[in-house]
This record gives sequence, structure tokens and C-alpha cells, in this order.
Amino acid sequence: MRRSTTTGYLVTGVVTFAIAAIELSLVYLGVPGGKAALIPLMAVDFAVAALFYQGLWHERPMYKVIMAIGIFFGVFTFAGLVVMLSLGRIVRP
Amino acid sequence: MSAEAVTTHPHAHHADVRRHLREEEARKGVRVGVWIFLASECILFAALIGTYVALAGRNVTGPYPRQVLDVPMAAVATFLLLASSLTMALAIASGREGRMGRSQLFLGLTLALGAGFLGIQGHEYLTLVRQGVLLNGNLFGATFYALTGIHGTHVLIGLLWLAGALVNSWRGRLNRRTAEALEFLGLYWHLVDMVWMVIFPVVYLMAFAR
Repeated sequence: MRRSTTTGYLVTGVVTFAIAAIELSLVYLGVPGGKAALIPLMAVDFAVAALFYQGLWHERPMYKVIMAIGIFFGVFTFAGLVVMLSLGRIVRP
Repeated sequence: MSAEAVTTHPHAHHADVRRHLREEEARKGVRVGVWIFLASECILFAALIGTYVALAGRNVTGPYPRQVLDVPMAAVATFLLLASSLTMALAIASGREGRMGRSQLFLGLTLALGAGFLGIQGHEYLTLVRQGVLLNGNLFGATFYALTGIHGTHVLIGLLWLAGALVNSWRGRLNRRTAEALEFLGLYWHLVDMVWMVIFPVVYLMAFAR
């Protein structure tokens, strides 16, 4: 099974650092729309680390599916909580 | 096993092959279990982050995030954790290549960087408590400490695991053949870092972003 190389790890490290620096810049420069821009940046950071640090890019399909199911149910839980707790604000006993 | 040994002990050869296949099956099973555990951790942290997001901005009383959160300090902690993921990956790569000295060095660096992250978080907690941010103070305090506290506990467990791996490597128990155990530690440590890549922007940056 192929695995990430040392160079691959170093490039991944640089990319994650760069994304974190961009996120900080958005806040400190007061860029309009910075809040919304944080969301795709977070997702890319997460994906890069999962694919190249954890090695999902080279892993067997079964492990990719397992992680994808975890992320799917994670997003589902996140969305569900946000919706349910917001509904709790609207509906008063 | 030599050809002479195979011809004289064919059953020994078959027993070797069977044992090797059983070990392979066991390793695959452990690997599947580790990935399922990581997937479940994604769901756990998604629930915690979702709760924080859903309840953000609904404090009736202060202190409020913009008043108390120290983004520069959190940024330093973030870069320490990001660096620790890199050193962890390099430790695993070195272990795979059989370069155990280098692997030990990178494991030690990972431990130091992770400890630095926890140290900053501990200092932050003390500062926040002095400023009146308590677990039972307001919604921000409750959700902040729940989210970052559980993440911090995961970091602590990772540090203990790292320390164990370092001790094992000093005793010569970690080698190229047993490097797979190090990979499982790496998978866990990278997940802890990946979760922080979401927590940091959600908790610290979104409070100040436009």
C-alpha cells in the first residue's frame, strides 16, 4: 500500500500553516465576509489533514468509507443540533 | 525457512503460513476498529461544536467572548498543535524506514509541542476564571469549557500515549516491524489536531470576524 512520503508530510504541514495564517489574516484585517470565508477554509484544512496526514488518500476504500460515514453523521448531528436548539427558541411551552 | 527445512518439515511451513495469515487478519481487524473509533470521535466533536454554535450569542449575562478571548495566545497554541502533527507524521515516516533514532526525536518533539499547547490552554483557563468565565456562569462559559475541555482531555490522553511510545522506543520495543502501533497513535493525534482546526476558527475567530 502506498503511503505519504516525508516530502508529502512537509507540504501538508506548510499548507495547514498557510490556511491557519489566512484565517487569522481575515480576522485581523477585518475583511468583509471573513466570517463566511472561514467555513470553507476550515473544511479544506480538515480535508488536507485527513487525506495526507492520516493518509486517507492512500488508504483502502473501506477506511475512506468509514471516515466518510463518521463525517456525514457528524455534519448531520451538527445541523440537527443547530436546528433543534433554534426551534427551542421559537416554541415556548 | 530453508528449502531443506521445508522438505523435511512441510507441516512447520504450513503452520508458519497459517500463523502469518492469522496475524494479518488480527492486524486488519485492529485497523478497522481504529478507523471506526476515529469516525465516532468525529460525531462526538460535531455534537459539541454544534451545541457551541447553536448557543453562541444567546448569553443573557456576560462575560462575552469578545471581551475575554485572547486570540493571539490561542493562535500560538494552534501553531504548536499544527507543528506537532507534522512532527508526528515525520516520526511515523522515520519508524517505517527503520530510523528509530529519528523517530524518537520527532516523538519527543511532538510530546513537547503538545504539552506546550496544553500549557497555554491551562493558562488561558486560569485567566478566564479570574475574569469570571465559569462553567456554570453563562451559556458561553458552559459551552466553551465543555468543548475545549473535552478536546484538551483528548490531547492529554494523546500525550500519555506518546510518552508510553517514547519509553517503549528507548527500551528497544519499537522497531520497523512494530511501527504499525505508532501509526495508530498518529491517526489519533492527527484527528485531535484536525478537530482543533475547526474549534479554533469557530470559537476564537468567528467572535471577531466580520
